[in-house]
Amino acid sequence: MKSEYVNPFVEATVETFETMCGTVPKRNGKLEIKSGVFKTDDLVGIVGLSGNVCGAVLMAMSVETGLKSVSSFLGEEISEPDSDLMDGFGEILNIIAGAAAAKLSSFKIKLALPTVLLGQDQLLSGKQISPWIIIPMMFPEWGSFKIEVSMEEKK
Amino acid sequence: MKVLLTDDSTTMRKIQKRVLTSMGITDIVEAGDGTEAIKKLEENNYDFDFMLCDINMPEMSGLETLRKIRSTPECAQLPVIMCTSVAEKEQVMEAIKAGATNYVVKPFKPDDLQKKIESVIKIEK
Amino acid sequence: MALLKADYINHILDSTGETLDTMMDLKLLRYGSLGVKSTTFDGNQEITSIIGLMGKNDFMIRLIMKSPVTVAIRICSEFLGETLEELNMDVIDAMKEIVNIIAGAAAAKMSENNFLLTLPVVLLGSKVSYSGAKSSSVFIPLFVPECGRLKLGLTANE
Repeated sequence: MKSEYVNPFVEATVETFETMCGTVPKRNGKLEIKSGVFKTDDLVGIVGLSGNVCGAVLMAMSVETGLKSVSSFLGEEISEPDSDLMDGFGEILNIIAGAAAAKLSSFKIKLALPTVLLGQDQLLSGKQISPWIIIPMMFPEWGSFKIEVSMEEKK
Repeated sequence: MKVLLTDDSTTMRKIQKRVLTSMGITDIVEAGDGTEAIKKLEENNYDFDFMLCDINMPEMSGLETLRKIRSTPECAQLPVIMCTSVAEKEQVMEAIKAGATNYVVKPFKPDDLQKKIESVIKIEK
Repeated sequence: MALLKADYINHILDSTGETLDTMMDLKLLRYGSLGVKSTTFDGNQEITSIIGLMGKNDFMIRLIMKSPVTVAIRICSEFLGETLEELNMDVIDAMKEIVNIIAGAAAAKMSENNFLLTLPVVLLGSKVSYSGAKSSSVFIPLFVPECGRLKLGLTANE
């Protein structure tokens, strides 16, 4: 995956949270490239990408951060993990992925159904050939989260 | 007998390797994508008896790799078995047009792959 | 949201059965009734593989395969033809490849939809529950003799 594909995802994330949740997340440290098995957060959303690419975009954060951001997105307080949290989280990620896809229009990206997983000690695996690019991000008031992208161009 | 095995999935390479080994073919060079396959061909002076090549690979796809092989005089005649998932039947047609010697569709039984390999080796003899 | 048609469920179940039979010589049995909610395999570390089939007119199916890690290790041992003792990258790669083959075979059975496949993603964790937007979902409990229980989760959005 080329690094120039990273910015559309960052921009889409910032725009989505700014518009939908009224907060402006910032980059939180350097990009990381991971393959093999690596640790991820308890709340993970995944949207598969297809079209002229084959890939996936993930958003991962702690349940606590997830509750705060989804509450703000829905405009109602969610105090514990439930289906509202997971649906809302999937919806936010779907909007981010859609916005990023629009910025990468030449790839004619199609989005798969979002999947949200909530678990303990979750590990994510990458493929050696198309590792994950991890983009650490941070909400000024709710804590850190990550956007993770793996994308191969189809030729 | 020397084989070039190209697949981006290490799992598929392992499975194919097992079939090859059971046939007594142990001289196996592996490549994880098309670019690497072309490199391995050059490095080995194109000295292979046949090649197994996945169609759906990142960077350089199997079809692109096959076209490159067919347009390279040193390996234009190399027997190539393309490996594909059933969803890509149109790609099989394209692969044949591009000069594939034979193809195998996933999921396959080890025997199926062995038969395809035998057919290719026979052609060569 | 349209309901998940029985046809699609059957095509995916058939593809799963064929893949296990052809590549691993394993049988796939139904185990209990279909559910609409994902339940966890209590107390076990679980492995979840996710792949999307994206068709024309924005029709999509999401396929999730979930099992205790111990079951996945046994299935992958059959797939690779070598006895795997513990969870490693071989198991994870093999789980990706298995859902990829199942999805590819299912896509061929439903070729009128011109499905494209997304990159398979594998996650490990314990007490994993999941949700996927507000679409129709079904969970199919399955049993592979000598390996153990697994679950297929299907969601469609037509």
